[in-house]
Amino acid sequence: MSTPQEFSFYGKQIVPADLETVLTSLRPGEECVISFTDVNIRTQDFESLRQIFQKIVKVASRLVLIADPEFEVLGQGIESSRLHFVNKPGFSVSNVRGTDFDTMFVSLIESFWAHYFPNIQRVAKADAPVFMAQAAVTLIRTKKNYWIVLRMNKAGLELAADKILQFTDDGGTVYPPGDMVAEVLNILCGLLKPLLRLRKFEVQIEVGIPVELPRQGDPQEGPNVYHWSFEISPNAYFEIALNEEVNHVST
Amino acid sequence: MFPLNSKILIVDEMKGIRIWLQKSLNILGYTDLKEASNGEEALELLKQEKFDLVFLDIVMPKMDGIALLKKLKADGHFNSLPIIILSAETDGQLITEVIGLGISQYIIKPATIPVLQKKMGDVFLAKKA
Repeated sequence: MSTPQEFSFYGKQIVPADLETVLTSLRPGEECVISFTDVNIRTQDFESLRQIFQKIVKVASRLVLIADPEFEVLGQGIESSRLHFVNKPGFSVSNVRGTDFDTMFVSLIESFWAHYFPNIQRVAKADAPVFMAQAAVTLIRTKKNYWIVLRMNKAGLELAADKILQFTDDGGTVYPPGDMVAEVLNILCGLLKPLLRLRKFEVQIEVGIPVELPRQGDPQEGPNVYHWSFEISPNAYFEIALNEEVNHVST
Repeated sequence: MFPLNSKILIVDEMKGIRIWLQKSLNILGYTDLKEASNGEEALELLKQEKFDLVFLDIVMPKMDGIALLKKLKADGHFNSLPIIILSAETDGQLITEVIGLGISQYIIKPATIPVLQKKMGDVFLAKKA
């Protein structure tokens, strides 16, 4: 299998010069992968951008564009079986080889929550717990395990159900909160697993059946905080707290 | 777009993703859905029943998505079966390899329902062409 030439653009407005760089670096018949993350394609010089893109399609034996769906306008009018658009979610994840595990893990979680919960303020480690209006996630690292502790109030859960799972009101089905949280975590795990494997971390990440636990934890959390535990193995689990009443809690 | 009576196979290791995809396809009007948690299970189902479309994950136990793809593409009964990869894998080389095996579309998780709908539409149009 040949190795494709890969080009990645992060956090900028794409301009024709960027695609010129791709074009001049590419040898005829090579496979090419271009990845756009947090890139703005709205430029006044869009026609130039499209023309260079057409040239790249002609040079490459296969061109894979990994980007938000809105980038498909670049391929309008190009009829070529060599061109492939791969849609990816609108949030970015550090996928640079060599990134240490902590950085990658935090980057992934921050990006995930920042995308789906714009009012997230930050991700903190266990010794600096953060409470937020709609959702908070805390990364805890012990010597052997990583835990994700997610705190979410009812509004946050509904937002998760709406934005991530897209469960619409079908006129009768009520999804238990624990199931919805499990689904959110399943998607998060689905993203984490291949990234961990790329770094040779052979870990098991599964979201188990949600079990509501008796009231526990920090007494300062206040009343009506519900916890779910998702036990994966004796030493690895997710713990979820759902707070029905608190909408604004400060540190 | 695929007719609403199309039979669709969902192959993913994670139950939560299978449930999410089922619900998403239900919202789009598709109800004839089957699921498998790995390539072996999927292959058995494909031998027993005729499917119009397959959503396939890559990383799975027993037989992964790439191994299943290779088997299907080498088999005259299945080599024209539309396959949409739905995976969290973002590695360019891997994606290029999978596309080279002849899949219909590749979507990176988590997908939205409009993206699923659009890609299914693209696959159907390409099949008709």
